[in-house]
Amino acid sequence: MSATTPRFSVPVDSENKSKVLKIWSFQRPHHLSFHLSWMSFMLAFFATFAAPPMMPVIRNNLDLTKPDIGGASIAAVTGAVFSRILLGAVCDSYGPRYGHGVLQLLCSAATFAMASITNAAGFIICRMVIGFSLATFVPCQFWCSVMFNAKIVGTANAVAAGWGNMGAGLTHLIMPYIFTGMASHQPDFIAWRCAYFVPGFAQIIIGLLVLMFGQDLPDGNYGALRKAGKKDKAKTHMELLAAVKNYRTWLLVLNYGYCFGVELTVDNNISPYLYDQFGIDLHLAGVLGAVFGLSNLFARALGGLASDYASRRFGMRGRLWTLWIVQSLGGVCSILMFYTSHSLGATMAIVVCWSIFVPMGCGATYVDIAPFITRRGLGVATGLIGAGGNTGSAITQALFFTGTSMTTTEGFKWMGVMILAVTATLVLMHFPMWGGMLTRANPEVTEEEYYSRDYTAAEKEQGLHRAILNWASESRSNRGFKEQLAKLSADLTAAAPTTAAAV
Amino acid sequence: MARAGILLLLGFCGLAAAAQNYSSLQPPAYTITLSFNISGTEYNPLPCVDLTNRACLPQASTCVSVPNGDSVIIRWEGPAGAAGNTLSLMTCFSNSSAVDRPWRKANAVISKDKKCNVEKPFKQGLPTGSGSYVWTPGANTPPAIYNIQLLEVQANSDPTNYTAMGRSVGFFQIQPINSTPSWLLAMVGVFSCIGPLTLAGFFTWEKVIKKD
Repeated sequence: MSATTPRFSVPVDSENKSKVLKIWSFQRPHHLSFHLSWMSFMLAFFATFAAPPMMPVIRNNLDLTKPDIGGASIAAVTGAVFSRILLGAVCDSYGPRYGHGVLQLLCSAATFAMASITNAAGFIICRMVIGFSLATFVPCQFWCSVMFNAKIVGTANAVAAGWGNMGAGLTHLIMPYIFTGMASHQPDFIAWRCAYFVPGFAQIIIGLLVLMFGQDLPDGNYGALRKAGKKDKAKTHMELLAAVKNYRTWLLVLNYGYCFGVELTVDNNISPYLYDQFGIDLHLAGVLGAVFGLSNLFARALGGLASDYASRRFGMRGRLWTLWIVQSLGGVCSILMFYTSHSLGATMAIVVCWSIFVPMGCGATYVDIAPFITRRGLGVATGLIGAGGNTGSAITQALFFTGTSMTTTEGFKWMGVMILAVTATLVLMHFPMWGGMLTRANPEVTEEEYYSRDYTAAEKEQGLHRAILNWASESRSNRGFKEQLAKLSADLTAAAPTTAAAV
Repeated sequence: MARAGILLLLGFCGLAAAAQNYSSLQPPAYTITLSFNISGTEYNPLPCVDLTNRACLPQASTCVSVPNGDSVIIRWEGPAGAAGNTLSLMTCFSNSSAVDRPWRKANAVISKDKKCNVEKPFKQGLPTGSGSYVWTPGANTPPAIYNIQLLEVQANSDPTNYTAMGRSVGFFQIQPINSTPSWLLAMVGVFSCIGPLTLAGFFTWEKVIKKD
């Protein structure tokens, strides 16, 4: 019998999902899709936050006030709240390729249109429409989830999301130089407009690359699989109920609003703050402001790793404490921005620390706690949590960085206080089989029981809940080492008399 | 010990100079009058001081157009300063152009004053005493309502120490360049269509033609 050539050049599981993540590989379809996905997400960030590093020029050209700029910052993150929820349905129906393609190719029109605006209203509208592209987060995470198996999907998602978020740092770094290049040929008020063509072209290129070279699933694209009868359309109302009725979803929505939401808010404000507070030039403000976003290269994944490390011994309780610690430290850094506002060096020292804690919180939330809230409603829950990030940013921006009664430094201080207050709500998170920060697990509740609660009795009779039983079994690692050891001992003890009787 | 005391005194003097307030320059030693070269014709309007109804501003005589190359003729009269002292001229935003804009916030400390662009005077090194200067606003001048401030800079002072000031009574408005020329709008029109058309084309090819 001749050996068959494997279809894929990476080891795959029974669903043809890759069991490894090789970040240097462009292997098709898994790793090529991974790279296209994070690059698309990164360019969405690049386009959405292209304005802040050039804000000192834009605000003079358009005669903007602080409320105008704050309103535009809110609009940039608010649009994605709705588009994230919509993108879940697009991914389910047309696949993640079209999820990326639709957003990038349609939003590129607004990116180019930014070059034509002449007043605050136009500025706000363009930033809102460009901000819709932040919803590429959904197809990015969706695509990784269908390409990588359970053991590696967390890492793939964390790396993709982190590298995507890096786009905000890149735009702070690069846009001032693009602007300067244009300004050597045009007045400043035209140069910033020309600079906006760069993110516009980038969005078109990545949208095309994703559509042409990406593949929705390991086995093919959605359309081809449907034709072959291998793909059904998803039913969404039960998934929605499973996510919405679980209070843990809303706790994480709130907390993600104050880690990822804070990240978005700082991305909108850091460069203009450094420029105005310390009188430095546009390039230096951009380079220093970029530090905050660029740390996503490793910090988001670091949050996931820290959470995994804590979980090995303490299970889900360790994950919750990890999130509480890093998010609270992020809040402390925000408060310290107020007290270091007299010194650029001290401010940057805080920014460096802050830039690590905030993405760590995002990684610890989204990759290491969110997937365990509900299995049936996972897509909806993670969509809501992601939307919570943008909502948190819009609220924070409106409360602390839009009005003129509060300076930006005071805004950082009060944002830090709010972060600490919201993070304190994590103590309310309790999983019956794993416990919470201050509560113990109930040994009589199993993972299977918890995840099966999202199915009705009739559905269980039909065996529809069996799809999640494997997952429930895999998630038992969240019990922590001690509890797993105790359970193993109990199981062995229970088995021993039977064995002795047999002998 | 004596050397330490002198150094300490110099240090305090340095600190005091760095925190110099406008109040140390009152009353203003210089008077400034403005006239305008609008489309090649010189206008000497009455100073526009009442900005509550802004009626005096939109008139051609006080609306300086950057694209037309209009200019502001600044004349000042004041005492001759110490040898080596020079004058710096800078624009100051009106209250209406500074409201809700913390980056143009007024500050009693001269070096921190952003309302009067103290860190970015448009002309430095002018001789003290009486004189005039013709300022042609550049292409990057923000559209706003301004008046003009003059500061006399003490020679070789570090940090910068000011010995006298003057501020024009009337305001004028700058009309900026057209920052959306027709070639730019044409490019925007063309390129903003590329993305949606590409998506529609690809969708049609894949779903309708290939039937995938």
